[in-house]
Amino acid sequence: MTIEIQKDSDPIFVKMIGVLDTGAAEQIETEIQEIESLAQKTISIDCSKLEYICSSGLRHFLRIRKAAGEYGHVVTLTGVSNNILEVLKITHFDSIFDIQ
Amino acid sequence: MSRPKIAGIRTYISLSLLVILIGGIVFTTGFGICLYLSRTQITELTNKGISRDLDLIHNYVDGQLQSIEEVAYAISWAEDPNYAIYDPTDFDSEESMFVFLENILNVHSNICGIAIGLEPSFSTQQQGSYGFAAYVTNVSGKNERLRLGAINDYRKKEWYCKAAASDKTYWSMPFRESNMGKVVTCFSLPLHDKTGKFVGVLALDINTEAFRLKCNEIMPFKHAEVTLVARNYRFISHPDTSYLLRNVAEYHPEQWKHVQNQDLTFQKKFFRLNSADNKSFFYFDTIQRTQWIISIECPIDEVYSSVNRMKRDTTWIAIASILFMIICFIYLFRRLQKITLSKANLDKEVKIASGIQMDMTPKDGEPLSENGQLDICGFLQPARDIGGDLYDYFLHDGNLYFCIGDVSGKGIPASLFMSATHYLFRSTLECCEDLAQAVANINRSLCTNNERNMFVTFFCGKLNSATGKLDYCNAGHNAPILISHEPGKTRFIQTTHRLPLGIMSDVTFQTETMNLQNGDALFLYTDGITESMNLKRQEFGDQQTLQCVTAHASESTQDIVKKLYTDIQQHADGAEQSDDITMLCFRYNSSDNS
Repeated sequence: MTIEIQKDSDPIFVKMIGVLDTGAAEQIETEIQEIESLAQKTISIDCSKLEYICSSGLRHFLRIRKAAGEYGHVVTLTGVSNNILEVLKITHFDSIFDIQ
Repeated sequence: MSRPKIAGIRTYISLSLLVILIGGIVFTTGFGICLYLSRTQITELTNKGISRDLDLIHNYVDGQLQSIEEVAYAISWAEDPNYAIYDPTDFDSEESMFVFLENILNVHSNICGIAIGLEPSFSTQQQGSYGFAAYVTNVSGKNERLRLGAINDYRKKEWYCKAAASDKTYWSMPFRESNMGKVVTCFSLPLHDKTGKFVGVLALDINTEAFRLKCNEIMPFKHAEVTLVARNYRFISHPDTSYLLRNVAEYHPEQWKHVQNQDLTFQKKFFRLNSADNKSFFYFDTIQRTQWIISIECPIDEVYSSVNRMKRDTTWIAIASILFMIICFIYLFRRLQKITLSKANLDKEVKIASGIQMDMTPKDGEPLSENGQLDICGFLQPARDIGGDLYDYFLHDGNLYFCIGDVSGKGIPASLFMSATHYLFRSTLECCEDLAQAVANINRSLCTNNERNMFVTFFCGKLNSATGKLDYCNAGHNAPILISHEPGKTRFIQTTHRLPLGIMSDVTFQTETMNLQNGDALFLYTDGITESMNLKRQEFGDQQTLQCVTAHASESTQDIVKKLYTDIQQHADGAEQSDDITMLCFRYNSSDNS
């Protein structure tokens, strides 16, 4: 699992690559904290290379969403694949993110 | 509380000892090879150095002896060294002979005495019938004349008789000179008249003190002994002067016994003495002219002193290293013991917690109603010791309350959140008529102080066991499967999705209703089923789940659950279970049928 963060852009672009399973979710804690700290700008997460997301991964998405929410921002998800979209729909996460 | 057994400590100790042993063997072998190579090199270097020292002494002594011989030849006008000619008429008087000898002595400082002895037939009348010999010796820088005759019996002395008998030059055995006590040796040259008849002997004495000094100069090692030995095996030179002219057998007989067995025409040789009281290298060389032996004896300890020092230092370093390793291993052992203990304690506690978690779920076969209207079965298989999934059901006022949930994440944090949800389900649903309201209350409670953003997908319902009316509420959970009593009509039920619990406190939920027919069953599950992966990372999926449930639709709820778990395991094909797997299945049998 790799996370690429473009800190200097506005909005901040975050690209998630690979499988976000429980093991990966435990390893990306630092990156998620970094993204949370950048939430004063709007955040756009590119999910086109995200193959799978588990509930722990959703929790990271929620953390980013909450951090952005404190600044009144909405987090945008782009390139969401069908299976990820299915998970987002089941959990109704599609209602708290701007999916493009 | 009993102390948990520490597994692997013995293995650790065995491994540590093995590491020390292997390290020791590798180190000792490497060091042994280094030591062997060093000793070989030092032996070679020592051999070369000693060989050079032997050459130095050999060249010096032989040079001195040769110069004496050359003086003798020069003064006897000898063209053939073994055929020197003497004409008695060359000397008109004894005085002239003494003067001649004194002149030679004065010129050649390395000569300490000189004599000409004559046969009786070549002596004058005055010199008597025995014969006459003129001998001049240097005593404390002054020449002293000695007239030898019958009284001295010089013709029987070694210097004269040996040369006379062989009619050849002769180096006599070293002896102690009477005046000064010096150890001297004598070179004798037979003299002949013009007809070739033997007329007497010219003899030159040489002081061996210079040889001794030269030998003492050469000191390859502090306690090395450099000696010069005559062919009668008496010391000409020895570091201890009291040994001069004493037989070598009195001193280190062992090595000299070895030398005496050698052919004295040998070149440089060396051997190693390894007796209990003398361990040394013994080098020797022969001066062919006199058949004297030059020997250098070097104590082995001194030759190998640098290697021995290295061996001693390295041994201490090795001992220190092993001690250090042992200390490190003990330190690591204690750390490991601590970690293992705390892990063992943690494992034990997790096991207890797992037990408590499993105790919270209803027991299979637990009678739910006296008339047995419900056929229900739950299953929970955590991916780790402790899980974040939950299911529960209970009967209250003729209603079956049930729920299934999946907390984000796994392990202890998820299980704690799961316990809270479980408790809230039991306490809230009993006293709240409206399902959506009850779920909203649970959600609000879970949102309080939820700093870690944990959440739980949750599906709960209330089945009126008399009417089959099913109220349900979904908070972000997978849609359950309705197994219709009519064969082949199995489907996901329609639900309105809402956010999982714990995310936002002000979320509203919706109660949905459907009616179960007699024989209808509801199959609830977590995403551990649909997202179960095989080694090729292929998910079990919604459709396969539906197909499998359909295939087992006619079975009892217990068999449906059991067989679906078997299907999942077959799909996983040995892949590790990555998520908790939870199923809850119940079948509605109306009262009319009971």
